[in-house]
Amino acid sequence: MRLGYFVSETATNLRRNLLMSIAAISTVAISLLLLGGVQILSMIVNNVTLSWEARVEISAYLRDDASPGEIQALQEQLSGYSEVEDVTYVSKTQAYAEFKELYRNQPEFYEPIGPDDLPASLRVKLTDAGYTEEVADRIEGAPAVEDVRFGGEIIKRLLQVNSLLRTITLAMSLVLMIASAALIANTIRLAIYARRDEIGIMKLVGATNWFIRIPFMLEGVFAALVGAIVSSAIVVAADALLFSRMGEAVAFLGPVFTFSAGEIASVLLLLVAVGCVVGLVGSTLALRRFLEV
Amino acid sequence: MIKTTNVSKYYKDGIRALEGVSIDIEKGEFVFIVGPSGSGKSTFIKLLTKEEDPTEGKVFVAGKDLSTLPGWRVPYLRRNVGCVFQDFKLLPNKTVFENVAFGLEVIGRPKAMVRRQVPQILELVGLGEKLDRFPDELSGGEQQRVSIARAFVNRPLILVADEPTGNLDPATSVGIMRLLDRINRTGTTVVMATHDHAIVDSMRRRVIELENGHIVRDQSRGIYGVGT
Repeated sequence: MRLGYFVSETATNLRRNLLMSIAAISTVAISLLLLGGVQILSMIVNNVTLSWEARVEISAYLRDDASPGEIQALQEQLSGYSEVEDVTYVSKTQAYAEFKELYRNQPEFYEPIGPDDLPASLRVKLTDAGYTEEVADRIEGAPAVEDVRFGGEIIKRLLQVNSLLRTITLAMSLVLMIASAALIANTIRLAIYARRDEIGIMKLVGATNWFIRIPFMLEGVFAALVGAIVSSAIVVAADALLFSRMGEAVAFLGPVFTFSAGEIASVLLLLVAVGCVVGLVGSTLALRRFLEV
Repeated sequence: MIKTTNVSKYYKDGIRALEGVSIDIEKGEFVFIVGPSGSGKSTFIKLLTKEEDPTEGKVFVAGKDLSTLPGWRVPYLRRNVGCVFQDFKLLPNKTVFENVAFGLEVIGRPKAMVRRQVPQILELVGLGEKLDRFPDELSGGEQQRVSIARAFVNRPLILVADEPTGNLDPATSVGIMRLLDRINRTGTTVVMATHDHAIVDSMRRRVIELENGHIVRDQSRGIYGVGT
């Protein structure tokens, strides 16, 4: 019976201030959408990093004057490292073939050069991308090696851009969350104002403070929850419609836009949880003065 | 039932509403608090429901020291002290029945109890036929009866009334006083602040007169006052 009372009171409050409620709900939705965006962005970067890491190889370019014996020795030495999974020799001819394949649509790139212009190399595949720099350093010193290259720089850059983007977006969503808490507080204050006579009588006849507060707190949480559901729906829709297509378009990057159900669920959970917190904070702000009476 | 010991109330703006007021009211008494406007009548009433706290002294209601009563217990105190006001304080968008039922619902009383007690109490105050009317369809006297019904439906130990006849004509006031008298006869302690001479004189009950926050008279079976 009490539950029914609280629910109907909450519904009445929301209806009375429909416009304010809509404003509060949409700010919550927008701020949470930003938050969800941040989460998805870092999931994308994570995917990119993973797929890059899987492909991280160290290319040890060999001196043209290195003797087959030296190369053989280096190859055996590298194979002996526990961090090294596989070492392949790429001859000048093979390198040129790959180069031609890579730029097959731009003959002006490969036509002027021949196999002799490209260095032979050893391609070192690691068991774990984390050892890249360490192993690269060791190879650097070998006499047959002219230069060592690996994809670490790109990943580093990517992570930097990601953390910058994260910070900016998180700051924006924080500001919006404060705004939505304030809007919720305002909505509730209006609801309290509209019902001040009833509240006065409730106090008069001995209704407990919690009995009076609960419908208003529910109102705040409900508004925030609707906002969270709206933003969650947008995230789910984006995942189903947008990301799958983007994933197909950039399939060569690997499964960058593919998220497991668990990953999506964790984003939704975060949105709903943060939404509830925003609603509670807003309600508490509105009720604080009223608590003292 | 009600006891104040040397109670003073000074408001922040320097007004000394009550000074050194000691009153002892027994269970089942009917007490008029009289005096001109600003004499401290309303402040005294507000102390009884802990709407205001005294600056000095102690207030005991139903055996409880209100100065040590924690805030969360105040609602339970108020369930024992029904309140009636000059301006009725009815909700205009609720019917007579709903207004009285509201008083029970918001203290969490079960629906069955509400359905049983509200018509009973409205019968008692003489509005058994007007359950579905809205306050603005009723006369002032009828509205005050609804407000008394709401204050009494929970069977409080004490009923306090602050100028309950202040907005009513003399004939209607008599009816309200009869009702309060009837409630008093059920054993409920009634404390009524008023400056209505005719009523006080006709009832012949205990009269406590305040002037500038001091008790100037406490008389059983009194009249409003000599020379006023």
